[in-house]
Amino acid sequence: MTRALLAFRIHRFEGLALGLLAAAALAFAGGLIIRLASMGIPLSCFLEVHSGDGMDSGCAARSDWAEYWSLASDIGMFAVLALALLPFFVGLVLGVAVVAKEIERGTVALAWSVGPSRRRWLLGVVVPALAAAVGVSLAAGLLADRLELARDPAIDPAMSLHHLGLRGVVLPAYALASFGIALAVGARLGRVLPALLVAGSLTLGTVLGTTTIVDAMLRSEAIAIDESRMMEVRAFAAGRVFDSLIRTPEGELISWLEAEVRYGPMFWEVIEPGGPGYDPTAGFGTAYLVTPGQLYPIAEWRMAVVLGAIGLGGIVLALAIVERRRPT
Amino acid sequence: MAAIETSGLSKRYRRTWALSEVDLTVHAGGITALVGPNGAGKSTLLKLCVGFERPTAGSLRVWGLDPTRDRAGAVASVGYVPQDPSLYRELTVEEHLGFAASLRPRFDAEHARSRLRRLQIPLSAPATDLSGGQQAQVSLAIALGTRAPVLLLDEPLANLDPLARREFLTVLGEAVRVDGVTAVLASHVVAEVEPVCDRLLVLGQGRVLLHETVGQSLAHHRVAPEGAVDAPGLVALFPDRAGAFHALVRASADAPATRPATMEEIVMGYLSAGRAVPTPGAPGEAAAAVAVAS
Repeated sequence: MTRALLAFRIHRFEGLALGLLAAAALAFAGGLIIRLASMGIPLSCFLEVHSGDGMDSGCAARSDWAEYWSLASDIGMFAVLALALLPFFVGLVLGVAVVAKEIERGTVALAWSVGPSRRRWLLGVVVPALAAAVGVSLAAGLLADRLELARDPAIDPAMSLHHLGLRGVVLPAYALASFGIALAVGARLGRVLPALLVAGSLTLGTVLGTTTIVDAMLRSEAIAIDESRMMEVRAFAAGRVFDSLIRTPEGELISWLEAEVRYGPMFWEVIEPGGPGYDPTAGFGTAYLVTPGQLYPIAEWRMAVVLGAIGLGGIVLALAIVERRRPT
Repeated sequence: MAAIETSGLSKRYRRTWALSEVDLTVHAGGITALVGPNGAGKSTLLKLCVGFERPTAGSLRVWGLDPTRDRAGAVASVGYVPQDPSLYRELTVEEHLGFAASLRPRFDAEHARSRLRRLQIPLSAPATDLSGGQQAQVSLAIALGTRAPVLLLDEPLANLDPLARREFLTVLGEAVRVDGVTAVLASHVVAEVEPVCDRLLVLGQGRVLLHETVGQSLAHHRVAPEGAVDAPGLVALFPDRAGAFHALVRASADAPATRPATMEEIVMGYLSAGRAVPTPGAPGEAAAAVAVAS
């Protein structure tokens, strides 16, 4: 019997529980994709939504149009979250089980006294567990991409920053990060429940920190797009809008508050369409600070690499801890 | 060749010294009974040998290898049987052998299997379905399957019933004879390990109190009747089960007014050495220590 099969036998409770959880999440999302596709809403309807010109009566009048959006938005969000949370559960539970459970139950005494190499023992469990965690999470990530497309077929998910971090290769990176953190914490604490709590908190902090960093990088890459071009380039639907700015008659981009300071309180009346002081010839315009959706692949991989590096760091740390610690 | 060799070996857990400057050589071959009360340092010594702990001071060699510097080599030289069998509840006996084989390149699964078959332990049974005695036998079979020259047994008899203990010791004795391994068997029940042991190693309060062959111990120790506080070669006064104190003396068989000591009495005597005991004739009254083991 191979080491991987033995590892699965030893951790079969976690394996089966997570397998069922994964199957449920994947089936839920897959079922929703099939349901949305089966409704047969033409692509033109979705294109009209993003055209900015309003919808013709044909699409809006469809009896299933409201049902589609209800499914895609409300139920769809549940499916997105289910898929995105799956890697955390899988990574945390398997990561803790690999070392902490064995220390808590005392079985490491057998493994560490029979096997001259603790590294070999650890890798013998880590490799199949990690392969399972990353494999399931990759399936979830790819399905989440498909779900993103199914929810709005007019937007290419590979060119959209919408739901960045909730789909694609970021999901297996979540699994890797949570697995590595749980492995290291579990190896240090040697107790399952405390390890789960500490590793869960650390993983949450890691993800929030990574998201903040990636967002800051995206913001630094944002460009100004005039309001009139926003629908044309699908900035709202696919890009990440960070700020709204005023383009002055001189062509300078400044904040709204800065504009008020510079042009006085009357500025608000001049730019308000339909207002008593509205003056379309004054030369003011609105622009948005937007990171285009075309940067999604870069942002996605950037996030995945950071999380993956943290996860691998956790595994290396766990190896070092296991090499030195006592079996109780 | 020395199976285990220590020099000034010490181990401290926070403020407590579990082992203190232990100088020791366990020669290859036979079974050494490692006896002492709880907290004497027996488990600590064995855990240091198998690389589960690191010494605070001093040196240790197991089969010529230092477990601190070459743990892999030292672990490859030992088979270890813990007090609790540490078996996986999810695995069958056969899977445990496969597990051991996956971790130890030259693990002799057939050797372990044949021993377990002889004991009629079902290989297909989950470990949790086995009795405590059977689990201990599986643990011993795995340790023997490693084909390591040194076998370390950390109180494996502690949780076994008398029948299982006897069976375990029979298997151990046979394995040592047939396989030629060196076994160090920790226990705090001297009478049980006496029949199978070749050497006696008494640990107390982290120090070696006595280390010699069983034959030497029995030949060199006598028990003097109550009140013999001035007996020549006095090791210590020790209480018997009735509470009466006797003197353990280091003397030859022709020492007058003495009788042969049992191994249990020898161990009791050495463990009592240095402890404050009531002065014979004045039970219940505290008195100074009467003797210290040489």
